[in-house]
Amino acid sequence: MKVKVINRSEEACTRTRSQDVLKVHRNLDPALHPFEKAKEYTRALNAAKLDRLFARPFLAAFPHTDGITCLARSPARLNCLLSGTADGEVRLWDVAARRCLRRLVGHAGAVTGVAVAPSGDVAVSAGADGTARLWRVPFAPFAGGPVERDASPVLQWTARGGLRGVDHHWARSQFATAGVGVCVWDHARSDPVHAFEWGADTVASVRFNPAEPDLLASVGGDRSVALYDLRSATPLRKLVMQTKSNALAWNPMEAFHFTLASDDCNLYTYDMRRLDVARCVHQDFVSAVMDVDYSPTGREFVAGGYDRSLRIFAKHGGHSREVYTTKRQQRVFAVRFSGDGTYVFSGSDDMNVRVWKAQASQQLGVTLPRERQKAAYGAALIERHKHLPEVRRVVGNRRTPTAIYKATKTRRAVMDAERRKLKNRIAHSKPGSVVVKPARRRKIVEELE
Amino acid sequence: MAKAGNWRGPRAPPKSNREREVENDVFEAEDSEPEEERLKNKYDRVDNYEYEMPSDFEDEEIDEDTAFTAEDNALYGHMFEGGPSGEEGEEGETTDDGSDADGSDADINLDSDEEDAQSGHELDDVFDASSSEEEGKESDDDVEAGTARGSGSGSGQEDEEDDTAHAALLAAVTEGAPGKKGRKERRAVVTEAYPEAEHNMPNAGDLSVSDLLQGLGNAQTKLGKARKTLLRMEAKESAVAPPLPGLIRQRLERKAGYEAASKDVSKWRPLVKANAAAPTIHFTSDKAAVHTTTTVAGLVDKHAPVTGMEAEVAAMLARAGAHSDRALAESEQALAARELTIEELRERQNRLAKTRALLYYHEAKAKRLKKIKSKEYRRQMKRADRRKADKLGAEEGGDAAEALVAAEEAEFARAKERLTLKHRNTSRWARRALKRGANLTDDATRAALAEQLQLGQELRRKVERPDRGGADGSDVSTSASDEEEDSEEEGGEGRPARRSKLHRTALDILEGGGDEAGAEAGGLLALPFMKRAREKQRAAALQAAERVLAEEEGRKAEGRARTSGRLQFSGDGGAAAASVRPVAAIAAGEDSDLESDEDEDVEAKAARLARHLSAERREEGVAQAAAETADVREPATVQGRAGGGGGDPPAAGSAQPRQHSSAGFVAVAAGAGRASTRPAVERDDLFAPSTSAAAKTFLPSGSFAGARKGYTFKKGPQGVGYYIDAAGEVPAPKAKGQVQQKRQQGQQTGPTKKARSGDAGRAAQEAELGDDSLKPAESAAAYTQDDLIRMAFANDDVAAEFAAEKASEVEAELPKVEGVGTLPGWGNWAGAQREPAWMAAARRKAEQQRAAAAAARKDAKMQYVILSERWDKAAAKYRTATLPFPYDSKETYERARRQPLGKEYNTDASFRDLTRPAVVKDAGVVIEPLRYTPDAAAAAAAAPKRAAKMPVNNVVGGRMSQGRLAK
Repeated sequence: MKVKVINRSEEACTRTRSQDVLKVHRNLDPALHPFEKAKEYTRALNAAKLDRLFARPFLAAFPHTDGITCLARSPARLNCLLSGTADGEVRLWDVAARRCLRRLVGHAGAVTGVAVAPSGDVAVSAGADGTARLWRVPFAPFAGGPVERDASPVLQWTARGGLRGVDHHWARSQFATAGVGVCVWDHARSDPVHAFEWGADTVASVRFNPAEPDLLASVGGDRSVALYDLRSATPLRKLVMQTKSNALAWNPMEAFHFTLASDDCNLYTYDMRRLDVARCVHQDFVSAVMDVDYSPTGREFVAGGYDRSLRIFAKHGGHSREVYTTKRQQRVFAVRFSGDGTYVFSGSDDMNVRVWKAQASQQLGVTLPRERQKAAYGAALIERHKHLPEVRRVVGNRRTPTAIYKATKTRRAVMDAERRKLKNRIAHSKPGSVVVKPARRRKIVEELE
Repeated sequence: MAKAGNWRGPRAPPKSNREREVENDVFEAEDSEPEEERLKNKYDRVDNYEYEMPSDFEDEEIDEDTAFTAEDNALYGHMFEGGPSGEEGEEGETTDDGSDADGSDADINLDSDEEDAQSGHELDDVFDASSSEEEGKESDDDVEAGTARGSGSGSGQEDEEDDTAHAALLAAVTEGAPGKKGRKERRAVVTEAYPEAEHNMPNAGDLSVSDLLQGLGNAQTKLGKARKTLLRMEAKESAVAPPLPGLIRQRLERKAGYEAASKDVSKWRPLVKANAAAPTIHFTSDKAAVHTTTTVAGLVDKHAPVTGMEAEVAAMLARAGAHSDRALAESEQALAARELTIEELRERQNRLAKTRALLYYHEAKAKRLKKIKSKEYRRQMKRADRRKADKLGAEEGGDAAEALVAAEEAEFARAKERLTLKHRNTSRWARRALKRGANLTDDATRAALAEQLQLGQELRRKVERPDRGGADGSDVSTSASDEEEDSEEEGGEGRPARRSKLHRTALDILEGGGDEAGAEAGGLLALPFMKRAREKQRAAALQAAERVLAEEEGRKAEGRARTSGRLQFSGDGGAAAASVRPVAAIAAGEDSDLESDEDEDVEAKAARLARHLSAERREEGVAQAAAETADVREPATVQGRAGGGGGDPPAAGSAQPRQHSSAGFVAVAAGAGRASTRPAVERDDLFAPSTSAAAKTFLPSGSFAGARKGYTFKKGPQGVGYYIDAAGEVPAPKAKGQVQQKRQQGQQTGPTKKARSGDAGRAAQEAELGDDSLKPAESAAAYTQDDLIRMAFANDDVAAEFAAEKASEVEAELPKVEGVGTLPGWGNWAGAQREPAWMAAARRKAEQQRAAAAAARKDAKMQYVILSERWDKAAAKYRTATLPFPYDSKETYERARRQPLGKEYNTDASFRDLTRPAVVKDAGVVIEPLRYTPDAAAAAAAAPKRAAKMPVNNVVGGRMSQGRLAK
């Protein structure tokens, strides 16, 4: 007679260190694991609740002496952040150490825009005083402690009028300023290498396309979005909308998509090849959207609003997946994603730059493989069960300040009334006489060649 | 020229046939209305006393064509200012190409678009102007000509006069020139080559070189060489096309630029699509781009002293001349070049000798230390040596005496242990100690007991060893418990001892050792067919047990003749095992695989058999108790049981073993054995003629007059009375049942031997149902299956019950229709005799509604199914209100959610694949914007739509590639 004995290898069943986890031998026979749907539903619900429980997105606030007007992150370094204020000062922050490295002093009026060169060594700022200034951006020293010092500009350019915004080219030592038209400057020249003027109105903001660096787009006071090409040195096209846009951002992973932050509380994502229809309308703000910036992953973007909140949207998300507010946060004028897509910076009227987590409940720091797997499992469960009412309720639950809450309600009431009215109008008109424009086309006035 | 076509000067009086155009003119329309027009409604409307034409007055219709004919024109044309007819005449004279018909044609086309005007007309215009100038007036055409070349900003009268004068001058110059036609053609394409301004000369016509030369007439010849140059210039004349106006040009540039940019940016499409399609995108750093030094030489090369100590060391090295490879090599060389002195040599030798001596001492010490071993080690070694020697002796056959001595020694040790029973824990002391059991605190006692146990184990191992080697070489391990009984029996009779267990079990079965384990039970086990099946099974088991006993007896008789010793049984043992096999097969019911396992432990078989039967007995006891109390006899439905399968083997399934066993039974009966007598006795008992066989099937009785054996009191087809129990009609079970009842009444503590043997006998009889001689007169086979079922469910109408239940369920779930018509007493006068028609209609309508709702139910057409349509509030949270967005059907959604995600449902790899996030980022990596390369785009475009297994798009420094993620 033969009796089979379970054989275990010593190596597999013993730990070399006390922290090591013993290998768990699992039997995957489905008969041994019944009710998998019910179990996973409960786990999903728990994961959703825990997700909300651990949602602590606010990390730090960097103080200024005036309202923040603009922000810029370095494309080369993670911990480098620049913020410009209404009193003409730019501060360079070491985000990881939460300290100010330099105060860049020189602008006579408000700083309206700041941008960092691709190398990360220099930054350009534009001011309402009509000058653009070049600054040296030092590395953050490893030694701890405060190292706040003043610095003055290296170079200075004078534009024809006050400047409203600036953005740096993603590959060359060139930058574009917005103001009276769009001007493209070279670090080595005192006059603009290109000057685009199309229409008489002021240009409010200009952004280079990160993926196709010779394309740039601007938004202006004439409610328009204009595209430019540096290769042919010509404007390309202009899109006029019903409301003016305050800012725009290109998707760094999809060269032809950009998003507009509009005054009508919405954001609009467009394909630059098809300007007659928006790809997506992103709703949820209750006041004008002031700034927008894409995550470097190209999967989501952050927008700051005049309603004192900032929201994070998926690139196709019609509604925000996250809203961040604090009690003291005022109008948000500038937002930026960090270089690794993990953090979000916001600059607001309350003289503070705030640092937030992009995923509110994400565990920061080094995580063990098991922790990672647990988080991934929870996220996958939530993703799978997100349509079920309980899970959806928990996942979508956000407490907003009273002002936003009430405004949301009012807006909803107004929109419902409009919808109702339209429905009635359709019902009582000759069929086909009422033409309903879809939301993606409704705000488009015309496309100028 | 055409752009001024719509512009009409205010001074030009509107012609009658151009009034429509004038109305559309924006400029005219903007002109303010005359005051009388504006103020005409200022006052209230009053009656008009002026004469009015009668309403039936009809004016004479005059055809437009006939109203003013060519004749009229010729006669009265001059009366109309600037009239075309008079001029036409002049024109006809001055220009050769203008015929009369042509002229009229031009006249009619006057108000049409001027763009298609022929060049001849333009020239005509010029002449028109010259002729009309004499009259001091301007025609429309003049204005056109003037504005086409002049600016739009109100040029004065003088300017226009200049224009016309210039044109006239030009005409005078070019009059009669032969190259006029070609010039005209050229004029048609000329556009402004200069900014439009009032001081610019209107480009009324080009003055070409040939014109000038023509003007010279015969004097041309005097020009000489210059003339040739001039002519060449003229031949070469090809003016560069003038640029378009700035706005248009810019628009065209923008358009072209946009199209080019759109086309160019579309090259990203494959990359964007690949990114969107990839389940995971992984942003990582370009580790290859980071320059790292991995070789030692490289590290050393890079090293620069930083800390104080490092600097010190470096200084020392430098001082010693070992700071670099080169310095080292140099010093080596210098060293080699040096000659040894005698003292140095001696010193070196001494040093070497000392080192060698030290090494030797150390070695010796280590050798000695290595020899020192523990006692335990020695003991084990000794034992191993002995074993080795034994083995050698056994193998070689030499040294037989030595082996014999060893065997004797071992035998003696075993005998000693058997005598003392020290290893069994069965001595009085040990038993007492064990009784104290749990509160055995004395360490010494515990140790002693443990020692005893250990001893026992060791001894058993000793016994095992030769067996292992001899019987089955492949067996490596054996459970100790199997051998426990061996030591009790004689050492040489291992297998018979084991067999004796089987023997005992068989006896146990026959004696019904576990029968007293009858507990109260009802329900399914009490059903007659269950009982029947169980009895059959038990009978088969009993029979098998008897056969085993018989075999045992036979073998014992055989064995007595032989000499004792385990080896002698080995051949027989296999046969015995084979003969036992049917027993075990019947007992276990599922042991079809036993055929293959020849070495199946007989003891284990016996244990299984016993276990099975004891369970059977327990059930039987329960059933019997139930039968007694309820006194219910129902016909058995064997078929129903047969489908049951499971642990209890169905009677039908054991047809083959039954035949075997019957044969075995005959053999047993023939042999003179202990068990063989019993069936004979039992047979008499069993096959005695049954009194109940002649019993009546129905005894009419008005009321219940106590229980009657084999009858049930009920209301049946023949009226109220005692009906014979269905079970009672099968004589054999009834007889058995009676026997059992008797037995149970007589002896409550346990079933008698007789009764048990009766069971066995009955089983045997049943097994031999095929045998005619043993077949009873009446049998269950007389009933058809339907009969049996009908009888089994005689009193319960399950279908009707179910229908009623369904009706009530449906009723409860139907929508409640309430209203005036449907509520009794409402909407009607008290005491009204007749129901109003409207009320009846309302009720009818409500009924229809309910009927429709009932018909619309999912289970409306299913007779035996109830599908509740009640809204389950608790279940609502597990379902979505609508189909979620990306899914096109319910099935797709369900399918997408079917595979669970957890670790306990998936292998590790698939768990990671299923739960991998859409975006994976390496910590601290700056994600650069995607960079376009044709290769990457081609790879992305060529990537299959559905990759084999969860592909991941890796983005390293803006460059995308497809692969897999290890994490």
